[in-house]
Amino acid sequence: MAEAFVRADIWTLAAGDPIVTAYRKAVAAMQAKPANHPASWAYQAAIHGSIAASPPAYANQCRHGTWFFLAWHRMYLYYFERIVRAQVIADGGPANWALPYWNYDGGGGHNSLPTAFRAPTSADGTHNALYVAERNPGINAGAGLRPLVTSAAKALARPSFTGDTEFGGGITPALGQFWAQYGQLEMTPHNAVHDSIGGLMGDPDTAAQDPIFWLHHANIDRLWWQWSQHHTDPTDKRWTAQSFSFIDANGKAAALTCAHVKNISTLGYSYVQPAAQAPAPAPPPSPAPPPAPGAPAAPGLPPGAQEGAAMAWPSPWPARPAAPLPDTGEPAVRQLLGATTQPVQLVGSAVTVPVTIDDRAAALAAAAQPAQHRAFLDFEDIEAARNPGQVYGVFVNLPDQPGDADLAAHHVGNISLFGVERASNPRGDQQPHGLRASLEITGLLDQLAADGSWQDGHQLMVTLAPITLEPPPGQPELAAELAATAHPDLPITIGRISVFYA
Amino acid sequence: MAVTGAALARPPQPAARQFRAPGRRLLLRHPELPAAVVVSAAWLMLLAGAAWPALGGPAAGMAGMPGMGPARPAAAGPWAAAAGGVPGWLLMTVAMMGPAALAGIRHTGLNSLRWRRARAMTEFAAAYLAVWAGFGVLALAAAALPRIPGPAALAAVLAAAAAWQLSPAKRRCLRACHRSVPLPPRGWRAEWGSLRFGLRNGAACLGSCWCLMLVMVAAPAGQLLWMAGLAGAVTAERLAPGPRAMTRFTAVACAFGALAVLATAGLLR
Repeated sequence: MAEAFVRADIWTLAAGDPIVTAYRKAVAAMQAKPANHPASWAYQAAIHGSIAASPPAYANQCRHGTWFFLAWHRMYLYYFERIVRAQVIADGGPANWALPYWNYDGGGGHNSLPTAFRAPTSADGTHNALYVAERNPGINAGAGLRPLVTSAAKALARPSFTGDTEFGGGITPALGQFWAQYGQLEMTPHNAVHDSIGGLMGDPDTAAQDPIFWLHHANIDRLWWQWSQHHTDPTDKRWTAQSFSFIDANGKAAALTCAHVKNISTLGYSYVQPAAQAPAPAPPPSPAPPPAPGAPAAPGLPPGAQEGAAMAWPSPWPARPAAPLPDTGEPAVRQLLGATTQPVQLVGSAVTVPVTIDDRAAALAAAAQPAQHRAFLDFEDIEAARNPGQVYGVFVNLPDQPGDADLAAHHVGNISLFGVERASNPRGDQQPHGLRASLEITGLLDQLAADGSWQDGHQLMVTLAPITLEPPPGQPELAAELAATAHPDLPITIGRISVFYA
Repeated sequence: MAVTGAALARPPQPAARQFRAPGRRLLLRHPELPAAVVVSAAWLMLLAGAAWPALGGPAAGMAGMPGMGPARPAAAGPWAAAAGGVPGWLLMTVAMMGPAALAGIRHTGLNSLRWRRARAMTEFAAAYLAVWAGFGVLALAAAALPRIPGPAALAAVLAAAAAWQLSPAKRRCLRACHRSVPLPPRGWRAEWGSLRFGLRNGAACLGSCWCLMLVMVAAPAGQLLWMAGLAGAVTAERLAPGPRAMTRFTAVACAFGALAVLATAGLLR
């Protein structure tokens, strides 16, 4: 079924493509409108977040760290696209204009900011409305985002939508903008790309003012659509029946429910999947590779585990259950097996901390309930006065002097603090929830046990290392600047790093 | 070759016995259940204490506790009166603040090693109650001071509670109720961690609700309804994703209550 509006990969469009030039002109026209006009750039950005003392109606609606994250942003993009399209048509542009997406994981240099967004002026010498000066150093010069930041492979491999550590996020009420139940797609690549671009993009209160925001979110939306083709979105009424309000292109209030936006063809748009993907420079061998489309994970193995890698984990870890756990629809309770005793502070350099596994807790966990034999790494009580904008890669049991292949093989996810300001100090009527992130490490532990590199089960060595930008080709002088990641003035405190077993 | 986990696990049990203890499974999922039972028991005791005199039994059991009886041994001085009132005060605190504190108890339980889970939750609860006990001694001592007429005191406390509900400080305290602190897994740091979490949570809760609890000190005898209403308001504020409506409603209710008390006592003209 052909939809009227097709969202295209911006890297497949020529610099002068009408979709790109129409977007630039529309952004400029919207930026010229007064901030209280619903179709103005400022108003549209304020719907996501605003630092204005008296923001307009419909402002500050974004949802993060919750299972509503994907649905809310799909609705937000849908109405934004209609408003921009109306502007494009008014400017004499293509009537079937649709928002392009930025597939930063497409390889072949697509991990750098699309060229139309980089220069202060356009080819015709006029102001380029797609340019934002305050982005991170190197971004406007074409520095590349690392595959560890851009890859959605781990998120796409999640078997379920609902839950932290799962694809779409944990169950929360609809009220409240920032919860601590991040889905994996939201953490990586969503949060990590926000922080890597920096500037306006680094803060949810300003992020949507950067024109690249919309292409980033179109890509996140595309990844959800891609995942949904082989997985099930929530059927729980608390999700499906939840509606959110926006302003449509005609200036009138409009609302959509999550059930209504499950299927993008209902909304009348589609995506052109990226053409044959250029081979990525270093595809991160995910510890949890995506299952073959349509095929469920091998029975009896935890999600993400590889068949043939079903090796016992070293003592004191509970033994792998002999029989697969029947699906009761309720996930097994996660039990704490060990944690750090003191908070960990991050100021821009790599830190490695041991997490000690407790013998008694491990024995009790084995006896307490039928186990799924899954392990999780949690980062609790994360605090920072302000987001330093640095993405930290999380690695488990890295060998000494790790090479690129080791880094990719031992990578289990990223920590970035996009939204930490609002999570700790929310607006008006909302409650703070702090930040907590959870990553599944079952696949990696299976792999380590199988290749014999994990002998001592009493300890997991967790490394948090800043992920820097790749210097743009031909500009080695930028390399030193990009490698500097010290943020002594903006420390991040991780209250506890813990290991759970279910 | 490393020893597998099986060597350390318990001796094998029949599968049926091993996994079908529903109580244990429920506790695993809801470690806060025992605390919830204690809170319910506190309410039952308060109900029984209120009903006993009405049924003709001796009223001595609950005398001296706020809201429960007029007997204040004035001769012994305010501090003695306060000390005598502490058990009743604690019972009331468990009943009224317990439902709101369950979230902190649950967080402590789920994030502690299983073999010290009960201890960690107990430490949290003890520290939380200690904060309230300290406040109780002060409040009861103040209540035993030479008399301000009862209705005037109650009206003043209700008016103060209405004002406090609407203050930014109250908002800050209520937000602080939602904060958790890192819980080290074992050793003295673990003991101190759960205690510290209980103290912080108790202090935040006290800051949020001290004025509402003063109402109970000033309230006339036998007011289980006051207790239930205030406990409901406190719990709703703590659990609502957006507490503003409940906070304002409580403020308005307290303000009306102050006027009603004054009017009933004939102090308005």
